[in-house]
Amino acid sequence: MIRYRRSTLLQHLGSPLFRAFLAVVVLPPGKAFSQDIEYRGTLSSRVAVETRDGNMQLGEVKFEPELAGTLTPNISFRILGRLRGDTQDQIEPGDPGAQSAARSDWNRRAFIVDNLDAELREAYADIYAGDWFFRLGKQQVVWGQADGLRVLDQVNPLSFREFTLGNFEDRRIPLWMANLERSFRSVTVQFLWIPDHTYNEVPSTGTFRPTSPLLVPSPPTDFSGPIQAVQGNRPNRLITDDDYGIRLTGFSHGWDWSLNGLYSYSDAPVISQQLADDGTLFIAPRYERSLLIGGSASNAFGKFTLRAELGYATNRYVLINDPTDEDGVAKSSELSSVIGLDYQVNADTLFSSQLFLSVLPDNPNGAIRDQATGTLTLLARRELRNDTIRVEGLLIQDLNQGDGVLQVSANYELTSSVTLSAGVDVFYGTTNGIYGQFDQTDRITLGFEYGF
Amino acid sequence: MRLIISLLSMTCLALPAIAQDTLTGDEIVAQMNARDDGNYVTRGFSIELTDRSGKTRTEKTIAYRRYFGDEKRTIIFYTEPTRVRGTGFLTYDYADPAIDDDQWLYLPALRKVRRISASDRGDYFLGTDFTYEEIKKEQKIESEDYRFEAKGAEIIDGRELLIVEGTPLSDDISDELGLSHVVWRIDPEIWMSRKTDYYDQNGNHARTAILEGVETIDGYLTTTQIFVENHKTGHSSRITFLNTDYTTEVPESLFSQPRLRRGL
Repeated sequence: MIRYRRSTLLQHLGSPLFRAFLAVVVLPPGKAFSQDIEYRGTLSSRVAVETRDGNMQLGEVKFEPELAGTLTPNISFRILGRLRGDTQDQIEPGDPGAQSAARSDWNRRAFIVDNLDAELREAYADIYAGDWFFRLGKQQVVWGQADGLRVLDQVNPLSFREFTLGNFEDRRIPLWMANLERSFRSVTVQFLWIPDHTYNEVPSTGTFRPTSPLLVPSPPTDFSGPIQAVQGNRPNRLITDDDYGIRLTGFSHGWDWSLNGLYSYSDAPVISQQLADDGTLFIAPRYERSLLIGGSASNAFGKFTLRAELGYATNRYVLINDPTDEDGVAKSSELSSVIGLDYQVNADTLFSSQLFLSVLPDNPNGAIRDQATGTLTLLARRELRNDTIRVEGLLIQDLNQGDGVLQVSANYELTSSVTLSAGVDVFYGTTNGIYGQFDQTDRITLGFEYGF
Repeated sequence: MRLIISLLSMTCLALPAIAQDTLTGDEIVAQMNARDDGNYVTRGFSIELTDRSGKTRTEKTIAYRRYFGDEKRTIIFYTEPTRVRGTGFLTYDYADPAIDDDQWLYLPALRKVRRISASDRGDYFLGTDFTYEEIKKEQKIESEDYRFEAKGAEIIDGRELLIVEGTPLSDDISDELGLSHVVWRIDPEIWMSRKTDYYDQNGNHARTAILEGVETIDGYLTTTQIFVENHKTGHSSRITFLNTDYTTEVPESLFSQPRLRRGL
């Protein structure tokens, strides 16, 4: 089992980021306390019960305070914090684990106790200077047109604390970065400089610890020696190891389009194996540079909206099943695409489908995943009673493994401030599959949210 | 062009009541559509949504509108409640009615601007009892949609209002608008409908809209409050327009996807 350095509260009490977070949290609730600064937030709770045995999987209470305001006509700011507790502590049991390996020193959650963590989620300033726009600070940047399937949406890493469940805003890990934009008529150019070396956060224990051989390396079948997980080398050099991005977006002849380029370390570590002379098998994550280039387009045709993304990435690594291979991984480029079609029946009813395809042009020998893989998503959404009720069903189907997940949910807006929710998440398929590996974690969820 | 429209409006305001009684339905609607609504405007919307049981929700927005030649662009940002704060809606409304509007929606939860198909004009706008068409037209009427017939006058609250009935010119238009006919009661002092009754495709009385407030702001006749009740659902919506400002120029760059994404 991989061991990571434990992040303690003491490490964070002195940090200016944590002090900023506390400043946000302890402010008295209320509305604007000066003309241009507002304090607001949400208090929410979720309970998840596993359908297999009735065990409670999650008992979460979350408080997200927000401070936002305008300093001058051209400068505004936003600070968003999160305090999250889980009575069950099964999602990230005990030691919080992965975050110290996945996150940079300045982008960590502070664990007050094992099941209570505080995080400065976002903190940025928006600055307009002539034709330039700057967003400086900790933020989320979303690229592409697809929902939930990532071809171009690679700027921010993700937390897999609840695997792919939960909303994307919570799953995406904000990064410290400089985001510069300038518009030239109908074309906008965006530059990103990301010195925050934070990557995907994957739990090493708990309910959603991945076990699929598509994601986790397995020792050779005849291997009986000791296995030791070691801390991998993380990129940590300023400038040299930073991520950089550029995007052009525009609107021409009815089409929204973008051209994207991202020079970054892949958010998913390469999990390599190495057999030492003493017979110990070392497993170490490492991060590899990748260049992603691609583009997206969308247009509406009557009640239909077409969305498409295409991306080509260098230096992707895949797990291979070859006992003679030195490290158990092979390098390949990756060509991936998403095409989506939405059908808006009326203002209240939407059907949406997406087809995601990924191809490894280099077709590495012994790769555990198929050279070409596909995922299909189907979404149906209906709003009722003047949008106070929303019912939604989402199916994600892996076309190679035959596994998938079905998510059905309903939200009821009880008042302007209070929303109630209920849902069912059902995984199915082979335990070797990306979704089927969690077949035993199907759950029913209930939640409420209060906004002030 | 706007000067001509203003002069036309002023001329019509000066018409004696007897002359108004002789106007045809098309002429009355032409007067409504000639009302100058400024090249650009900034205003807040307070939207009060009340269900059959009397439970009320309130949403607040800030909206900007600007003409680009004959093309009208509108951007709306939700500010209240917290649940929808940051949601943005951008529309390019083209002069040619045969060309669908281009529309984008920004949802803070997705952090993404989504292209959305232009809804049927008769669909209800974001949970209200107003249709997209009514929100877009701002107390004007698409004259190419209806056959208009003047039906005389009616006294309501001491005002003599001109009655115009509109019937969709085709089944397709009737389907798009979800209407069999509309009855407007138009105040010739302001060339706005003070009371409008909408009838669904089965001829049932579907909704009634009441103009509750009108003021002259910065020289423009401006709706300050409007109420609509849905007789089928018992739900009602009231929009109060706040801080309307026609004098501060709204920059062209505001009506763009990057601004929709960045928010206010």
